[in-house]
Formats: sequence, structure tokens, C-alpha cells
Amino acid sequence: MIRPIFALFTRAVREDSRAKAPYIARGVLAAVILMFLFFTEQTSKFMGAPGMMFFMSVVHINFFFVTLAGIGYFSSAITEEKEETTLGLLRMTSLNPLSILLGKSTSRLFGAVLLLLAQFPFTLLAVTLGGVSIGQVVAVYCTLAAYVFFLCNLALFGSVVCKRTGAAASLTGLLLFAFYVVPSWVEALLQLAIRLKYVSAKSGIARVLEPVFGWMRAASPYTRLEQILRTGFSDTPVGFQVLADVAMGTGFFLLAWVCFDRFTRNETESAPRRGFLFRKTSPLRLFGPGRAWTRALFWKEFHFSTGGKTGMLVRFVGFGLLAVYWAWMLGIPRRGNSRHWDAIGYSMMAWMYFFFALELSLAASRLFRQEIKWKTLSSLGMLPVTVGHIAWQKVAASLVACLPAAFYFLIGFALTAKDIAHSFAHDHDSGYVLGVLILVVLETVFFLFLVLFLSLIIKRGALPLAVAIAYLGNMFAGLSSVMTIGGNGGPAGIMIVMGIGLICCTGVLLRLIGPGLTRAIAAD
Amino acid sequence: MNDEPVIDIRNLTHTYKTHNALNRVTFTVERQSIHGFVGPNGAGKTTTLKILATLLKPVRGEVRVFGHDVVADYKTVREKIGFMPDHFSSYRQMTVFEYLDFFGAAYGLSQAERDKTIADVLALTDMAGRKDDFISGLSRGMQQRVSLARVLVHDPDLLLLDEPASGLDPRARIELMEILMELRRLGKTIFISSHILSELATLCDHVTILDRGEVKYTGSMRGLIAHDGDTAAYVLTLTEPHLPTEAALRMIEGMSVRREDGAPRYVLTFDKTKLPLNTILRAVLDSGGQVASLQEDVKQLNEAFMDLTEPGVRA
Repeated sequence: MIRPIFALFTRAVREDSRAKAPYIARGVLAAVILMFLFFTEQTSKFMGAPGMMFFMSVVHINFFFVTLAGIGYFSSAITEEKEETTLGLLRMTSLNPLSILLGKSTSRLFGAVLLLLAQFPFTLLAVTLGGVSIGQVVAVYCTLAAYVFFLCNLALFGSVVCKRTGAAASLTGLLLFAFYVVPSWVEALLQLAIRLKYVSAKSGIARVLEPVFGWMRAASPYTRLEQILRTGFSDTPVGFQVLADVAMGTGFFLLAWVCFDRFTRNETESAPRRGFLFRKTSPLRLFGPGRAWTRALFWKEFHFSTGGKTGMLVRFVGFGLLAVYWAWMLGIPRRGNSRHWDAIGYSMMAWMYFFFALELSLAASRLFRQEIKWKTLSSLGMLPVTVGHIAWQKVAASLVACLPAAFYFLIGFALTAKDIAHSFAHDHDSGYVLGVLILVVLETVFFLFLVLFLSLIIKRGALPLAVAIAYLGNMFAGLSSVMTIGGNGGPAGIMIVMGIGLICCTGVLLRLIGPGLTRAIAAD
Repeated sequence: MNDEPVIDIRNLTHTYKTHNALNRVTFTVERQSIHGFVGPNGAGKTTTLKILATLLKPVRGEVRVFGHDVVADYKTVREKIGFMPDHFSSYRQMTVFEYLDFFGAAYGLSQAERDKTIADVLALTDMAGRKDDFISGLSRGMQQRVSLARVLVHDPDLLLLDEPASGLDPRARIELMEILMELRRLGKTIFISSHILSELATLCDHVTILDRGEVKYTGSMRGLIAHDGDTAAYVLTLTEPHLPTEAALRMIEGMSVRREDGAPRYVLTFDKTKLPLNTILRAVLDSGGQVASLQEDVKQLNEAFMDLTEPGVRA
């Protein structure tokens, strides 16, 4: 009875135990933690409670990566079978939906929990360094394990409902966004409505929503981790958040089970998404790709990867609405204050830079990966142009797609130009700030190179891995500078030189092995 | 007319890590011919095709296409060839026209040139009526036609086709073969790898048999299927069994007759330089036999293939 249910799970765990990659991943994780320990020990003379500092770093990294990598890793559980059109074969065996779901998702959950377990003994060393108790360490890992369980099943639901991994990851990300951010937005709006006397604080809606927001805050692993990391934490390790996350995870698993038949009944050969690109026979052909341009690759990438004219329009409108929202949110509390336009401008610049970088990162991660996935690289590889030419046309199209973000960034810049000019004229730290800004831009370029490179050599997860490398790299660079110059932070000049060095190294690496690698993949 | 071979491969060797995929492969492909490329799985056919298509650099040896080295002069080679890989790879989110238009533009054709070429290749592949359909909505056979149309869109002189008929139903296969013959009439050279030997036997005028990375035979199809050079084999099928005809056939000097079990079918083997086909036909008709068909025994390519290649899967 039990055997068929766990057949896939047992196989997956057996494969996992034989594969080298999971051991390497656990080893690398342990090495990173040991490195942190070393840095913490070295920098302990500059800061108090080094154990807590070390532990906080580890916890934040864990939370960050569980969220980022988890979305991609768990979302492909069922969609990878759909994409390979092998789900039908699995369904034809004696495996029932429950065994398929358990086999495909639980093995991944198991792997992720093992990654957490692998680091547990090392993090206990934080207790020796001081500033953190065993209870806090145990509570953190209980929180993270429950969060992994919730995320795994949330993504499993997305994977069952969606046809492709990308769509499943997007749905999971959206649901997670709704879980973390939307309640606080709604709460802020409710508070605003109460303050502006649109809604009474004693009205039914306010009385119902207030405890709901309270529960959602309490169920959030982020809130729980903040509580645990406070000095003097003495709560039970298995708090409300753990129970709530396990309950929500179980709920999403059951939902995935209920939906399984409905969403996997008809196996269709997957094809890349066309989006809102209308055919020339459609009345909305104005939003279609039209005829191919002389720069054909640019045309293809612009329309079929970035959404073309429709995509541009959506971005212009979407970013515009966000800008209006920020203006409203930031403007209202500061109404009458002459600096509220500066606040809106800085906020727009920061967010638009984020969207700009995000859009380019996504473009870099799929620059050749999509061609590899849909086996079209060999057709492109046959064109009488170099790999570099293909890559640059694709990059150019991705840059054009970023124009809406750049447009609103410039609006933000225009709003803050006076304040920036004033700061540079009168602020002694302006040189340092400029250096940091240059470093941010350089890091973005390095990051894009890294994403592109990783997308060529690994099948999936190039973006999260690049984020991990960049994040750890930053952390080590920061800690190194603290170690070498005694906690005052590194001069921006050194950091910029390091940034340029990194970009050059990655650029040269890409130039040297990128074309050969791409050709080899095209030939494969 | 230029007599230089379209494909000239000399001592081509290629290895994947420790696995020797091709070992001193040497053969040529003549202009405006349909050259079959056969061999068991793992023989090295696809590796050879990828090298010809400039997707793979050979480890050793010389590979020239229209006199251009595939490594040093790969851009020129790419302009002159059209490669259809063994897997169907296309931008399935595009319509047929968008797909062809994209590749036409990528090969540097102007819009006017593209309009003309696309109309021609759509007519040739009989896809003109489906040009605004999404590729993802087409059947396998139609997708293969689109793939072939894409290969033709820049009007290459040499077509490299890797298993173009795999996965197609009989009708689609026959139609594909007809398109290939039409292309030869249009002056294209076709280098085709396939496992369907009976179709290759009727389609190709030259063939190269590869086994375990080595050329076992290269030359004309006739030279391969003929016994001892001049021996021909034909299959005669009568509408119904007719003993006088069988007796008349057995009386013809210099010809061996083998009747296939349970059917009025005879395999006739004879020296074609000494015995004209007319003599055989006359004997049949004079004896009162009703001929259903008389055709060359293409099964001999299978036999030749089995003789030349080793059994079992390559280690």
C-alpha cells in the first residue's frame, strides 16, 4: 500500500544520495559558514556580540536564498515533467497523483531541509562566540524548516496549475508577494482611510481585518526571524509561525492534489509563450511583430522575448501607475513639505533602477537559455554571423525593452536634480556617495555578465546562483575591507577598482569561452 | 560546369573525450546529386553533418564545402548551405510566415527578396495556405515542411538533411521525397542522412555507408546494389500465378529465377550487359502472363547495408 506512494520519492532520494552535486552544495555551504566564522572571529575586536552578528548574517542569507532559489527549484517539480511530456507516462503507471506529488516535491523538500541541517552544527558555534543562545538557533531553524515546507508546497501548487516552469515560478512569486507585502499595503490603506475618516476604526471591516493582519504578520517567517534575533528571546522554538506555515503548506499540498487531475489531464506539447503579439490577420495587428527588420535577431528578441510594442506599453503604464502610487504614498504624509518631491524622485530612481536591473538580469538569464531549451540554437548557430553578433543584437533588444524604466528613472532624476546638485556642492561625503553609485552600476554590469555566463553552463537556476555569488561576494568584500581598514568601510576608490577588475575578468572569461561554449551547445 | 566536388572530406577524425566518433573518414559529394548517408546508430553520421554545418570543429582532417574550409571560412560555408537537424527546432510561437521572414532577414535578404523567396518555398512545400498559422498548431509533417522551407529560404546550393523523414507518416514521407526530387531538378545538391533505406535507394544516386566512425562504402547507389558490378536484380509481379510464364522465365539463359513464397512474385538476377530487360518482358508477354509490376530490387540496399555494417551497438 505504502510502497507505490513512496516509489518516486525513494528513487529520487536514492538518486540524490548517489549524485555529487548535493554533497558539493552542502560542502560549499559549510565552507561559506566557516568563512563567515573566520571573518567574524577576525573582526570581533571591532564589534560587540560577534556570535549574534555571525548568526544574523547566516540567518539572513538563509532566508534570502530559501525564498529566491526555492521559488525556482520547487516550481519545476511537476512542470518539468509537463515540459518533457513525460507526465503522461508517469500517469500511465500504477503511480497515483498522490505518489507523483510526493515523489516529485517531497524529494526536493528533503534536499532543501538537508541543506539546512548541514549548516546547523556550524551555526551552533555562534553560541560560543557570544551574543546568541541555543534556543535562538533552534528556533531559527524551526522557522526556516517550516518556511521551506510552506514554500515547497506553494510552489508545488503553482507547478500543478501552470504548464511551464516560468509560469509556475511567477505564480509562486506572486502568491509569496501577496503573502508578504499585500497585507501591509492593505493595512496601510485601511489606516489611511481611518485617519481620513472614510472608515471608522470601530466599523465591521476594520474589526475583521485587524486580527487577520495580526495573524498574517505572525505567520510571516520574516517577522518571526526578527523576533528570534532580538536579544532576550525566550519563546518556544515552535511558535505560531511554524504551525501556521506547516498548516498553509499542507493546505497547498492538498489543493495541488485536488487540482492535479484537472490540470494534468490533457498533455500538450509545450511551446514558448507568444504573449500579446497579434497576427497580421488580427484587427489588433498594430501590436503584432509585423515584418522582420534588417536586424532580424533584434526584431525577434524585441518582440518574442521582451513582449514587443505591447510589452513596452504595459511597462509604460505599469511603471507610470507605480510612480503615481509612490507619489501619492510619499506625497500625502509630506504634503506642504518642500522636500516631498525629492522623496518621490529618489524613490522613483531607486525602484526604476531595481526594475531596470531586474529586467536586464532576466534577459541575461534567458539570452541563450531559451534557445537551448527550445532547441533553436542550432538554427541560429547556422547563421553567417558570429556568436558575439547574435549576443549583442539580443542584448540591444533587451536594452530597448528597458526604456520605460529608464524614462521614469530620468523623471525621478529630474525631480531630484536640484537636491543632488546641492549635495555635491555642499556635502563633504558626496565623493564617497558618487563612488558607491559607480560601484552599484559596475556591480550590475558584473552581475549581468555572471548571469549570462551561468545560463550557458547550468540548466536552471542561473539567476538565483548569480544572486548568491554576488551577495556572498559583496559580503566578503565588505568584511575584508572591515578587517583591513578597521571598520570604517573601504574607500570607494578601492571598491570601484575591484568592481572594474571583476567585470574585466568575467568579460574576458565570457569572450574566451562564451562563443565556443555556445557553439558546442548549438551542436549538441 | 565546375567539376569540383560540393563536399570534400579527407581523413576526417573527431573524438568526444575518449570516444572516437570518426576515424579518417574520406568521401566526396558530387554537384547536383542526392547523396545518401547511412549507418547504424552511433556510426558518426550526425557528427559528420554537424561538422559540415560548421557547428562542430573537427579534431583532424580537412573538410571543404564548395572549396571552402568549414573552419577557416565558416561564414561563406553557412551562406551556401542549409542544415536541417534531426530534431525539430523552430520558434513555435511564430507563424509560418514570421518564421521564414525572420530567417530571410537574418540571412540578409531585402524585404522584396524575402517576399519572392518565401512565396516560392511555401509553394514548393505546399504550405502557402498555412502561412499565417502558428507553427505550434501544425502537425509533425507540416512542421517538417516548415523546417525544410526555412532551410531553403536563403536559396542555398547544398542541403544537409539529418533524418528529415523521421517521425513522419507514410504520406508525409512520400511527399517529402517528392519535394527533394524537385529540389534536385532545381539544381540543389542534397546530402541526406536517413534510416529508411528503401526510400534512399529510390531517391539517391550516390551513397556513403558509415559504421563505427569508418566509411564502409562510398560511391554510386547502382554500384552498391548491383551484384559484381554488372549483375542486376528485378522483382517481377504478375497479376495472378501463371505456370507457363514461370516456365518461360526459367528457360531464359543467364538468368536465375526465385519465386517468393505464396505470391506470383519472382526475383530475377541476371547480367544486365548480356541480357536486356526487353527480352525478359517479351518472354513474359509471349507466354500470356499479365504483368502487375517490374521493378529493381531495392531490398538489396538493406542487404548491402547488413553486409557492410557490423551487428550490435557500438561500445
